[in-house]
Amino acid sequence: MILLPKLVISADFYISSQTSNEISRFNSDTLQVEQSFDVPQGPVHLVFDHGSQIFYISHPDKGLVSVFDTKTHELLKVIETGGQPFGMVLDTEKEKLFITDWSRDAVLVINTISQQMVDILAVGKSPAGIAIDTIGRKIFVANRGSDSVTVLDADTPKLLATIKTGESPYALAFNQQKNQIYVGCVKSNLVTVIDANSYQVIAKVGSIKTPYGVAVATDGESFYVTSQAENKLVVFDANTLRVTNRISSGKMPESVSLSQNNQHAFVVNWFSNSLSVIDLIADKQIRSVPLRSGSRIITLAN
Amino acid sequence: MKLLTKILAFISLGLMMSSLAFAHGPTPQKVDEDIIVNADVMKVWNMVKTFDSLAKWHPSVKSIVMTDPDTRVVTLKSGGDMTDSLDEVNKEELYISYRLLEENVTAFPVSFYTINIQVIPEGSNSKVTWSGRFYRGDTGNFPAENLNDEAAVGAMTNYAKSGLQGLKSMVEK
Repeated sequence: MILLPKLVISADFYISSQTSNEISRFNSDTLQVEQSFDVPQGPVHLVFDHGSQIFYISHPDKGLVSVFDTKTHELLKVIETGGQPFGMVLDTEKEKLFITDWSRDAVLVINTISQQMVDILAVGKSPAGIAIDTIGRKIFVANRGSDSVTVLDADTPKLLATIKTGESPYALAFNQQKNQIYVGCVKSNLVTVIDANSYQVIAKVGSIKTPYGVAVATDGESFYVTSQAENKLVVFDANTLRVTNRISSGKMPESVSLSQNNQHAFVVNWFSNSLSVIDLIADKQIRSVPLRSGSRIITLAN
Repeated sequence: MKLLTKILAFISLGLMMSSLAFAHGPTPQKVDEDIIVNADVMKVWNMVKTFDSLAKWHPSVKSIVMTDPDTRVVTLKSGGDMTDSLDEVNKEELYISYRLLEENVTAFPVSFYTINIQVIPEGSNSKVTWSGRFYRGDTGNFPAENLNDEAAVGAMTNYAKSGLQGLKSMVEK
């Protein structure tokens, strides 16, 4: 008898706990936090560079980005950026890391080979969320203080567009399949949907009280937005741009990530210090996993 | 070129600048207070649910002026005012949620907050929770002492505690 290899669909997600100065590793197969480790003060966003087997963490309160080994969790380097480095996105094609700098109204560019800061690009006020279209070679930045999204050329320091959004755009996500950008506008209680080719606003959808985190399903057919004031995960159909469900989470949800098979949503509840595991077939929370204090961002690690 | 700024001086200038902008760069802070009120939930809820009645029970609030049905200007007894925007009045789960619309860090050293006040049955009495997320008055990395995290946490915690105590006193009277 031939033993077939077991089909492995499990994946690790890393969760930052800003006030505990810790990162937790959550496994989507066991649905448990399997490990936690210390990092420099105030971690928020994480980005994985699989080719180099390292990951980056932003520390806005400290004005630095830390660099860790994926396997050993050893601190390899601290990049002192200054300012308040916040959202991050890796350019997997060109060995660059783009980081929003909240207090300097800029995007910082780090060369991931030299791990040096090589550029500072001016954007709108208080930039927060950032996303990349690696094929179309574009960077999208949500400027919370300017009520706009800046589109930058990913290869040259060129401004492609500035697009007016709802009030206080914070998180954003890019849907590669639909070529759309979803921008959560905290003060307007809606999501601005932008066509990434024409840069036109094609819809303003909601209503969602205090939208905070945005994630897109891997097949591009749906997207997900956390409503911090309503303690809900709001599900959208990416074809109709309509809300198809509102699923209860813990208190004050912040970020959301999806399992690779799109069957589960993982929601970090900032106030509850917990992770909601939401079954997207049954449309309900099936587990609440305790997290450290000040937990904010969940990121797929592999 | 307008967009590209490679000047190193910009970095040091940025470090010196502090921002009073609507805040999300720094660490969000938490307020999590509760109190037991010796009264039926509906009696407490009737006091909590009306967005324009805060001055009736909050000892730190001098007056409320509604500028539209969802917007209130809160004048503090200590001086100064700030503006709140109503998010939700949930009659099933008995909570009210609102957020800071216009800050006044001189009067109250917090640059943004979202607050949820909920009434929960506790036997024949009520538990009232005051939960919130907020940011310090100066969201730059070098805030003055009166606008740092400690100042914000102190102000918000006192405000929640005195509010809950005021609510209890008013309802139990």
